[in-house]
Parts: sequence; C-alpha cells; structure tokens
Amino acid sequence: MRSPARVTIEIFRAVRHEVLSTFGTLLTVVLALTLPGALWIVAENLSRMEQELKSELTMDVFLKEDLSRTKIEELNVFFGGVKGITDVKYLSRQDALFKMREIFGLEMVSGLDDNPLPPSFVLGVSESLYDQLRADSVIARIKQLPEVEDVVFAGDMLNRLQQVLGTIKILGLLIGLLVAFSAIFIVANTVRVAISDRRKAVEIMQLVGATRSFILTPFVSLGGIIGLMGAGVASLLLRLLTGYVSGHIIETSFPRFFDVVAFILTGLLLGMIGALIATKKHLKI
Amino acid sequence: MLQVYDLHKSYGPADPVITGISFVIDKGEMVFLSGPSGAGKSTLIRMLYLEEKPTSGKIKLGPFDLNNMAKRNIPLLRRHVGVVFQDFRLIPDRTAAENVALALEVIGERRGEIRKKTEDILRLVGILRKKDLYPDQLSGGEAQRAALARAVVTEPLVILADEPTGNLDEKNSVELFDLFKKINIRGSSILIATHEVDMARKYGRRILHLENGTLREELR
Repeated sequence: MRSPARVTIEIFRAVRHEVLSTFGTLLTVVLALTLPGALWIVAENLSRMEQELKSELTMDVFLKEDLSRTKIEELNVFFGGVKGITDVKYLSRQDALFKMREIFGLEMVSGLDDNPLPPSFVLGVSESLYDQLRADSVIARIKQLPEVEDVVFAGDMLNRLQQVLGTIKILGLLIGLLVAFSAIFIVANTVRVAISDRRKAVEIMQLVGATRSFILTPFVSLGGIIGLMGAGVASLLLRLLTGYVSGHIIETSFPRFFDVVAFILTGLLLGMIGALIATKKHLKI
Repeated sequence: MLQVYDLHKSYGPADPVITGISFVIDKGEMVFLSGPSGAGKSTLIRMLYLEEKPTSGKIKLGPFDLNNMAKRNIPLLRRHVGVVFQDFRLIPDRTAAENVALALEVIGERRGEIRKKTEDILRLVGILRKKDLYPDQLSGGEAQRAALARAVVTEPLVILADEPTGNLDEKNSVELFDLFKKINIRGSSILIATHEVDMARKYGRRILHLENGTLREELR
C-alpha cells in the first residue's frame, strides 16, 4: 500500500504536464453537476411548498347570511358526514373580521363602517380530496345547500404544483443521468491522458514488483479528487445562488448538510468510476 | 537458487528461439551469459522474471515455481528479482534516489528505512552525491549505477542484467562489472547477459554461451 503522501505526489506527477486540461475537466464537472444540483434544489423547495400547502389546505364554504345556532349545528353535522372532510369549524362574521385583522393588521379594517365579511365554514380536508374530480363532486354537493353562497378550494393549485414538481423531478432525473455519464466520460478522458503520460513509469513500477492496486491508486484517486472537487465547488456555487435568490426573489432553502455531503460523495463516486473505466481500458496490467 | 530445466521458447513452429536449455545458478554465484545478437539472451532473461512465458520447460527461483505462477503473484516474484537493462529504465521525473526508493516503496518499507537503505546503496555504487539529480542530468555510467542500485536495494534472490554495458564506454563498462563483482561478494546471485565475452573472461566466472537456441558452458 502507498501512503497518502506518496499517492498525492504521484497524482501531481501524473497531471503536471496537463495542468490546464485537468483544470478544464474540473470546471466542466463543476458546471455539469451544478445543473442537476439546481434542479434538485428547485424540486426540494417545491416539495416543501407542497407540504406547507397541504397542511394549510382548507375548503372555505361562504354562507349567504347569519344562521341560527340550530342551523349551524345541522350544517356542522352535515359537513362532518361528507367523505373527505376531516374537520369542521364555523367562522361568524365577527370571527372572520378578527381573523382579517390578525392577518392584515388593524389599519386595514379600521376604515370599514360595516363588517362586509360573510359567515363561513372552514373545512379541513383529507388527501382523498387532493384529487380534483372528488373535490369537484364534494364542492357541487355543498353548493346545492340553499344556505351556501360560494365554495373556495385551492386543491387545483396543489394539483398544478404537484404536476410541476413531477415534471421537474423527471427532468432532474434525466439530466442527472445524462450529466453523470458526461462527468464519467470527461474524467475518464483526463485519466486516460494521465495514464498515457505515465506509461513508462507504470512499466518500471511493474518491473520492480508493484501490485495492481499500487499502480492504480494514484489514477483512481485523481478521478475521485476531480469528482469530489467538482461536486464541492458546485455545492458552493449553488449555496451562493440560493442565497441570492432568497435575498432578491423568493425565500429558498438550501438542502440539509447530510444531503450536500451525499451530493459531494456522488461526485467522488462518479470521478472514481470514470477513472476505473480509463484504467480498465488503457492500463493493461 | 535458480534452476532452469529443458526450457523451450518459440514464437511459432517455424521460429524457435530457445530449444531445450538447462542450467543452475547457486546462491552467491555470478554467471555470465554470452552469445551473438539474436541468440535469445534477452528472451531467456525476460522469462526469468515472467515478462514472457516459456513454451515448455521448468524454471524455479528460490521458493518460486515460475511455471505454475498465477498472474496476480508475478509482482511478488519480481520483488525478489532485481533487473538491470541496457537502457537503464529510470523514471524521468524521479531523482536517482527516488528511482531507487521506488523498489522499497513497492514492498511497503517505512520512510526512514527507505531513506537509509537508499543512501547506503547509492554510496555503495558511488553516486550518493548525485542522488538528487534526475536521469537526464546523469551520465550513462551514473544512470546505470542508479539502475543497479534500484535492482540491488531490496536484496533480491537474484540479479538479472541484460546487456548492462551496452550503452557504456569501456571505462564505464569495467567499472560497472567491478560493481557487480562487489555486490556479488556481498552474497547476491547474479546472471549477466553480455556480448563482451573477453571482458567477462577476466572475472574468472562461469560463462554460458547461448547460440542457435542451445546452451554450452565454457570451461575455465
């Protein structure tokens, strides 16, 4: 086995005649990994938005006029019996105004002479109503009630978000696969050049009894380092980009530490695979 | 130490190179292998460190049976065989000391030991002061001494030299043969392939003549 210091020296020997092309490979790997990384961050943020939307999703049933306590009880029982409704809450005109004041502040509602807000029922929904057809059927049933003025439900927004998320995930996967193959190919080519440059040294190493792993380790490490550094720099770029988007456009979260580590390790793995392919093909030992 | 029995090598039915040679080299013995160009000296040397496989016959080197050696064990054999070539075969971007140290790195020697053994052997071959020079900064004689140092530093079972003086002038050739003798006195077994028979005779050692694929031993 070689010591890490000896492997490092051997890597420098392998690339010292090809500094520019190795740097070019590194840059290409950075750019190649940044694209699927960016799509991954977009997908993560849309997933988060989807979860938030799901947790806050309600069906708001606006009523024509104030109802008697008995009628409220009746409707309470009715809504409670509808499949897909998980929670029923009555919101009087006064409650609605109070809620509006909470959300928009006192100034917004202080200019109002009269309370224009209608009474309503706020209905919690189960996942079965994320399906647009089922939701439409429930809405139609509720709208038939004579006391109901209108029903507002953001289920279609959730559906659209889920469709966009699905598309981005598929796109990310396809681009990710494409980029993975490209990164492997680019690294393999750089390692091939390094092998060609070190051919004489490799022959001499074999002559003095170097094992296969002794000879391969610097080349595989070179591929791994390019992949590792490429993914590391791509992560840094994406962190800066996320910070910029958060500060100037929309609140965007960066993936968790362990996810970033997994991304960087993926870069390492791709680099090593590329190097192994190059050694398998061009280093007959 | 080294036993070769009924060794054959051919590159096709019409191209036999070696046709049934046998010889033994004892521990601590220095033997010359002579013969005209194309006689098969280099082929024989290459078979002794398994760069080439014999067509038939047996080779035994110390505990190693070369006929039944798996490919993965060849590096292990080569750690016990020091080889010196006409063209030195030094790694151009390693200094003389680093080239010698490579043989010790391969066997996993500790850093301190590598430095000590490398300096000791470079002192023995007389180029310690040149240890930090690269091969292209060394003269032919110095480069061959570095190559010899690399072959000897791991104290192999046998040292094989294939026309080691082929690129050297007479003065350097004599000095190199003297060095082989010095190393042999320390206990190493050595087989030197050379076409300089007259020079070999001066050392009073066994000389094996290889010609037309067969071996003949010169009587002393």
